[in-house]
Amino acid sequence: MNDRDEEIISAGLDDELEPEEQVRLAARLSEGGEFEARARSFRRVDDRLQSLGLESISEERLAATFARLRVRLGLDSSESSTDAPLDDESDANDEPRRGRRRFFFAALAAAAALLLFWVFPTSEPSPETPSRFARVGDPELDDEASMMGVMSAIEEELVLALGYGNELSELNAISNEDLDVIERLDLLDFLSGRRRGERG
Amino acid sequence: MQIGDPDIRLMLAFRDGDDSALSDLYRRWAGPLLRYLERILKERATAEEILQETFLRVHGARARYSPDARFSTWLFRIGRNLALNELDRAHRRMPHISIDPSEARRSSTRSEGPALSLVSHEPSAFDVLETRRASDRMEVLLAALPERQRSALWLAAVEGYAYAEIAEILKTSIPSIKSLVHRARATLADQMEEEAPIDAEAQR
Repeated sequence: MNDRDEEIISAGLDDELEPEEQVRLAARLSEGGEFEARARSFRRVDDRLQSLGLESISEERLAATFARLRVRLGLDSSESSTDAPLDDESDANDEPRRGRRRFFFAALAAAAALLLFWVFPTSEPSPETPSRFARVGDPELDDEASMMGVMSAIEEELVLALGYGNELSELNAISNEDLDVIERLDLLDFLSGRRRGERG
Repeated sequence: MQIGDPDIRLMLAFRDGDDSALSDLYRRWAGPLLRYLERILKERATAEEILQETFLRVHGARARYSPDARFSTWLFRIGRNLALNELDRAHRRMPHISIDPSEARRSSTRSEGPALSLVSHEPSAFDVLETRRASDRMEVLLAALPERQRSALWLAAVEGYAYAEIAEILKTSIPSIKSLVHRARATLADQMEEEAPIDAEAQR
């Protein structure tokens, strides 16, 4: 058995022979003997290798690596959700953060609504309502605009209070750590209460 | 290269700003690439790092991407180059601690379940043990091959790459790949015969 023969067997296993070489290989194999035995031993090597190739790499492991990659690419800001499955990875990775944000915006809206209710106790102004609170135009749009105005004012205060300065272009960029502070200190209640005091 | 090739389509979409295409490319290729990198690096954690680094390079090079070759050929070439650089760095830092496959399996089992999940039809416990033993042994023999032989054989026999593509990845000629693959196979076959001549005879 020489190197040339072995190379032909090897290339044959990889389907890298020309058609005429393939025919010659088949003929040699059919003769049996040392040539055929060597081909069998090469085949056994491939079988073993291929069983290694079937080694499953778990979805969790790939997803965790992908989550770290996303952080390095700046697509995610933390590694808090590295165990999320790769499917729907962006949704799954963002879920805890989004959950907290939903809570935050709900609380912000509630604070603004409470403040509006306190300033405008009914949806329709009573005849006794002071003229400065008289409603004009579509009352629903007015309510919404007022609520947005109050929310925006509270947001501005929060952004300044948390030290973001002008760098924060949107409230979504508030970190989870700061959301913790907002929750722990009841900052929304505090700010909306203070605004009530200012308006009163 | 065929523009209809799904990888090329995804990479072009990624180049043109569709970030979700990176996720699809990762889903398609991270597994095979990680398996290959593990064979070069022999360390799971380092292989994961290099996998990330490879996709970071893909991200960084996306603006310059042109579909001259199969995406996976390009990807594996980047991965291999990074892995070799890492090996070089590690070699200069300190003697490398090679992986004992059985130890790797134990640590893998702790973190994420069995490392090996061989396709089988309800094998007996004995079959499973035998398969594991044989796989462990093959990992050791494979790891002992020179890197170029190991890469060439793995890419040909396991990943199914054509010699021309492997030549692209390893930056060499097709005859050279043919020779590398053959020598790797011959070495492994000889060692397997030496270790289990009786088993081998029994199978003939």
